Amino acid sequence: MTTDLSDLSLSISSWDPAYGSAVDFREFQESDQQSVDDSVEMNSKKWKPLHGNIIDAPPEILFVDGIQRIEARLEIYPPEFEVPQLALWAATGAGAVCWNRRERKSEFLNLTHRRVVVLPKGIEISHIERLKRADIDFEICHAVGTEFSDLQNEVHAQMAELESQIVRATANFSGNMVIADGRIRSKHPPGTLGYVKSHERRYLSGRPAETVPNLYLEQRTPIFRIDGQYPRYSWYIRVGYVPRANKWQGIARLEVSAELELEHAMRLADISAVVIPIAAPPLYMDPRAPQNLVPIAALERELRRGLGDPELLNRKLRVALHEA
Amino acid sequence: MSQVPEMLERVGRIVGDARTNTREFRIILDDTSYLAVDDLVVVISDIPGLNDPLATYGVVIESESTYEGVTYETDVRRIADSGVLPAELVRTATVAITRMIPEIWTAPLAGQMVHRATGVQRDLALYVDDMGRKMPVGLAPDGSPIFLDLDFFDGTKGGHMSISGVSGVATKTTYAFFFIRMLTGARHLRENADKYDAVGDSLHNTRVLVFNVKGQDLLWLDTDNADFTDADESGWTALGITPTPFQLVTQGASILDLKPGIPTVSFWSPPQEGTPEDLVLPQADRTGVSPFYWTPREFIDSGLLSYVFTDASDSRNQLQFLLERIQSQLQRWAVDLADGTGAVVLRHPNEHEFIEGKRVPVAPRVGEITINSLESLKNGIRYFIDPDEIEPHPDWVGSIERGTILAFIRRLEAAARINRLGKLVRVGGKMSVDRDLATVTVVDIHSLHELAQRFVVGALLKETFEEKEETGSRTPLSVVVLDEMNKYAPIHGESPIKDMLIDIAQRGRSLGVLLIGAQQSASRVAPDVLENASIRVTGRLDSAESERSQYGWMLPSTRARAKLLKPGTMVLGQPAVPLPVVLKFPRTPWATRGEERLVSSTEELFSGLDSSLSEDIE
Repeated sequence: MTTDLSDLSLSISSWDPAYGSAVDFREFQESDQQSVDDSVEMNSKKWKPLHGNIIDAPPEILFVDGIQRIEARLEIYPPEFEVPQLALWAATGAGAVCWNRRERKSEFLNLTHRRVVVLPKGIEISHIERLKRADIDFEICHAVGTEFSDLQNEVHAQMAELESQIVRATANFSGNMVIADGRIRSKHPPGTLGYVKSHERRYLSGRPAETVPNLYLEQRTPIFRIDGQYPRYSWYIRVGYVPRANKWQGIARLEVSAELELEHAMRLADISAVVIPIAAPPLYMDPRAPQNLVPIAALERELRRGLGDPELLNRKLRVALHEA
Repeated sequence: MSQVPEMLERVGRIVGDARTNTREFRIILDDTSYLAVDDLVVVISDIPGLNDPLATYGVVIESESTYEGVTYETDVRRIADSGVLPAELVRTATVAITRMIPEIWTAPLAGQMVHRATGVQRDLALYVDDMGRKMPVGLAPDGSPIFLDLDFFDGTKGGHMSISGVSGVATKTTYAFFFIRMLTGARHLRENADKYDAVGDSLHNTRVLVFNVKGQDLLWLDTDNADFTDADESGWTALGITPTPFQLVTQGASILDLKPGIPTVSFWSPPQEGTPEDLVLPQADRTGVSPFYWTPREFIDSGLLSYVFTDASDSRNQLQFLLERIQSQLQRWAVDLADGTGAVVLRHPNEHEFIEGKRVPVAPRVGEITINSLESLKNGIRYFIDPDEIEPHPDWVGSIERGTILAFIRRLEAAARINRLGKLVRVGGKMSVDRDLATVTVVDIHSLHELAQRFVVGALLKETFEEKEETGSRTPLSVVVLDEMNKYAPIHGESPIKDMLIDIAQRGRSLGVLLIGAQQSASRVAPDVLENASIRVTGRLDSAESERSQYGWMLPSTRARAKLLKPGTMVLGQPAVPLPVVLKFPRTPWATRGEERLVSSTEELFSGLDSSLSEDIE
């Protein structure tokens, strides 16, 4: 048996693919200079909880989410390079759950999965020819740099792009309300609500900040405006109560593009305050309850299921790359 | 045959999350299809290395449903009430594999398409192509016939049938008669018989003996059923039989009026008490029933004394020895009276006169006891074995102790009472059950004391079996339907009837005597009798009973269902098909109870009168 040395130019790194995944994605990096205007709807000195309502709320609520998974780190070592170059084999998925409140029925829509190989800057497609032996379809894209975080950011960008495509393909903003998991991004069509579960950043202070923990179910704070790279309207709602926990538990934040009229944003805020708590899970159901909404959790589970067994994929890749 | 059956309805695919094996697999159903328990399916798999596709046949044993994507039980509220949780309703079915063609036992492949087995595929699933001679014995849920391989009933390869099920719904006997109607309604058989067909050819000679033990249920086989519907009629048509009641035949009536192709029936009932010799009336509420009894001569010649002592406890002591001795002495000593009524006197064999080898009838001498009933027979026997003031006759008693003799007399005395066996032995013209008269001979014993019932059953079984033993020919077939098998062939104890039933079960197959035994619980029937039955049929079972090993031929799922079977639904087990098949049979065109009778308006006028009258008689 002869070994073709050129085959050695592509291999799977034995490192755990999840290594180094705790990276702050570039798109999320918000500048510190952003300013908050907490008096767009109500003077900040008069802030108080507002009651939501669902009069003329659309019958359909669309939840959109995307997932990503890095399945293998590839090492590419073409003869002309001095050191091996890192590439990522990743999978992304996005889809929607359409919850029809009148028919009391939810269904998955447009579940889409994509496999991508993210190549570092300067690496040609011809270098990974051998991957095709695995007989798995994949797309190829290039990162802006050669660092691991560059590659990771590209994976995330691919997922965000996929998710935005799903929103554009699925949403019909006159007949339904669209809620995306996480902050809204520039690629989301205006009108998409971003649903933020965690409160890592402090936007409010003074009376507005005191208003938030005192929200009851079906109430919301007045709208405030976050100005930055991407101006947004935002508000807090209560999705549930957590006994014996600080009062910020069970609070979620929503945001929508500031391209919208303020009245439109207020309408969405009123509806969200009433509708979203219905989709919140009971505490026993999910460690992230009540903020982690039932349809979004189900969607993530379904999307992960659709990605297939990672061990099996990894084995296929190894067989394709390492066996003669 | 092994090609993908394009005409068949696709119902789903074999699931991918569990392993298939050569016993079972599961199907995920298509959104537009359903499968019910007992439905038959076929899967065609291309097995690597096999040239031909493999056809796997199976029967649905369970139907299931769940939500996919559910983690907690209460998730169902979020799916079905508020609807916030998306989930997929999944319907699946579990299939037990019944057959592989070609016979290469390889599991069907996961993900394969599953089709409903209909038409030719259905017959293959049920091994109909393997059957020597097929006879319809019931209907599948879809209304198509279910077949039995007659070779396993008529003695060719196997024989006998055993029917189990709780009582009260009359299913066992009704199915037995449904089966007999199919067996004797040979039109269907003869058309399809390609080779010789024992039952078909000998249809007009096939004889069925039945005992009516409950009410007068079996005395209406010739009467239209008022509850018979058009749906029942189409069921019979699907089975290839024109539904008609049996045709009544009475003694001495002309058989010229009988319609061809319809089996006949004759009814027999014990005589009413106290009827004069020249007008013996049967104990029955209807016309067309003939009385039957045995004369002392017939009683002695046939050795029926054994069947007087049928209690299991009778076999434990010296009684049997004495009984055999007395039986042989009776046969030696009995000599006919000249009046020709069947009465005898007991006279020493040395005094018998013979002409051309036959005993010359005599007139009774003074002091001789004329034996014209069981009571006088008892007195006649007693004269020899326990006489007053003189020693017992040594030829009759030998060295048997007096206690045994007294026990014998006591029992014979009890049995001879008129409301027990007394009325069954009397003098007069020949009035025995003529089993050649009609296809089906119904002997009504429901009004008799249990002792008398056993006597009649024993006597007629013996007659039937000995007749076939003498001819040595398997055809024409002689079928005996016996309900309450646990009484006649119990698992514990000995009795002459049990011995004979075991004999029939073991040898009857080759002699053409076939038993259709019915019982509430097969676990209480002698295993020799049960195990020789090739065909097993079960109606609804008691839940404790259904767990017993006697029902091991059923699948666990079928056993569970047997507790819930409705009247008209049975489970059939036969050697030709290695799985139990659940079948339905249509209502019979004849009445199975008095209340089902189709009465004409004039009859209706007097019907109330009739029943009050019959109550008085009883």
